Amino acid sequence: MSVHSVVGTDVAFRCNWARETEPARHPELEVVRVACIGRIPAGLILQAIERGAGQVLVLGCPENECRHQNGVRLARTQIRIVRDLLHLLGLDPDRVRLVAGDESLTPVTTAHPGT
Amino acid sequence: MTMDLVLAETLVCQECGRCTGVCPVARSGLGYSPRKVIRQVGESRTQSPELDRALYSCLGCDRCAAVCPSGLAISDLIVRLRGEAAPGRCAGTLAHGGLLQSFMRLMATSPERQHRLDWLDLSLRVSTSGDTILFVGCAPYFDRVFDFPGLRPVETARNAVRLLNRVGIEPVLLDDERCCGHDLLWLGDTGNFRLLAERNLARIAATGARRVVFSCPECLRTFKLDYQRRFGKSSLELLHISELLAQESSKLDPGAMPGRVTFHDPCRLGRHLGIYDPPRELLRAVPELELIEMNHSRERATCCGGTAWVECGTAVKCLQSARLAEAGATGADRLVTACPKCDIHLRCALCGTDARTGPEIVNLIDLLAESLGLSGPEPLPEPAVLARKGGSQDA
Repeated sequence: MSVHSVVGTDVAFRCNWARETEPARHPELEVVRVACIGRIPAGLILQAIERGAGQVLVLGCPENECRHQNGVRLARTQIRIVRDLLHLLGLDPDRVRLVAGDESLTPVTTAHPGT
Repeated sequence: MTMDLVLAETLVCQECGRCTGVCPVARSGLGYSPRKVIRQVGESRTQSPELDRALYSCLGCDRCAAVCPSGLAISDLIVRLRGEAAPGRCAGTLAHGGLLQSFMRLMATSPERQHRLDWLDLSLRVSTSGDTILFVGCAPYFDRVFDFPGLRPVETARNAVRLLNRVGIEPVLLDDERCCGHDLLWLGDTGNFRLLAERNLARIAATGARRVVFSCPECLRTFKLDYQRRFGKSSLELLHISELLAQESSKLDPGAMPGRVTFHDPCRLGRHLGIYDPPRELLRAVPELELIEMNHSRERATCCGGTAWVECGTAVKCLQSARLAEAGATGADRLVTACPKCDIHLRCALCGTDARTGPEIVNLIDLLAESLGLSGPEPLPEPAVLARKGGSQDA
């Protein structure tokens, strides 16, 4: 897996089995469909930020509806690591978020200075 | 350094094969051989996928350089080849999905001020200006990434401050210290290495300190050898914390700690910098603590198996298992190391392979703090020991 240049856009890793929610349809969102969000390593998420993504969303199903049983739990662990690292780096941890279920996210795309 | 110069260097090779004879990666039998790398380079076959792959198998442990009759610094050559053979690309497989290199590059380029000193507490005496800087290294970052049983990099950093306080030093900690750049340099990323080095050197110069103490041998090596080689001699005194504490040992009064330990020499501290005795002096000064040497110790010590978070594969796991078995065979209860990365890699091996018979792994800094009664309020956990005794190893 590799992250291409994503400068100026937001990126979403979206579970193949998740319902298409409002955030995933946003025209300015670069959506990467994956077999399971539990397979997205923290390194890939941080590299998306490193290459200029404003936000990285990880879109999955409600935890108890996960087709792979523990995909959301695994994703949460990886996202927690990235958010902690962003805080250490002096960057906004909220640039990386897990959206599991129907949470409404507006606005999805916001400006981020200094990426 | 141009490729021609690299080629010319290889002409001194006598093809004796001693390098491959001692190389811990070659021993795994998976096809890597430093001698073969030298020959391929000497024959100008520098653009092959096989060589690209081989370049990233090297751990830079310098066992080869120590036995080379021609004095060829093979790992040094390999680092330069990494930088030149495939600019900006790494043919090796990065461990942890490239997470560590990513935060290191972000430290090189991000203008933001870090929150890297959140772990300080009021019991730790530090100052904003003074003689001595404690270079903390990536411990706060490792603390968030790794959760191996018993590993607490931030607590090790606290213990380093406590030990310095004990010998009467209130160290300056840099709130905007950056990664030293060791790992990026060893992956051939000289651009980001330069950015990190310039930021660190400028920040340190601004404090007016005359001495920098390191708890990580890789940071020390990078400052002492790589920064000076590239950015000129510095008047700073650069010391590993074990050197400083050994000098000030009269101010330490360690309590009795019955048991047996063995010491794992980190490659960067030992072969790269020649620092073998200070950690041993400190261990011998602890009453009732017996130091037993492994067969491969000092100049012959084997590597913990991880450099620059790349190519962590079968060869690495083989040598880590062998190292843990060797430590276990000494009869020691604890395997002491003086490098946070050895600490991480050996604990990983203990969790991730079948080598569960090794002793408990402990950083020298934590052991000394424990012997001086300086450890924090939380007891030092011993889950590795519990896992061995309990037999529940499948979790």
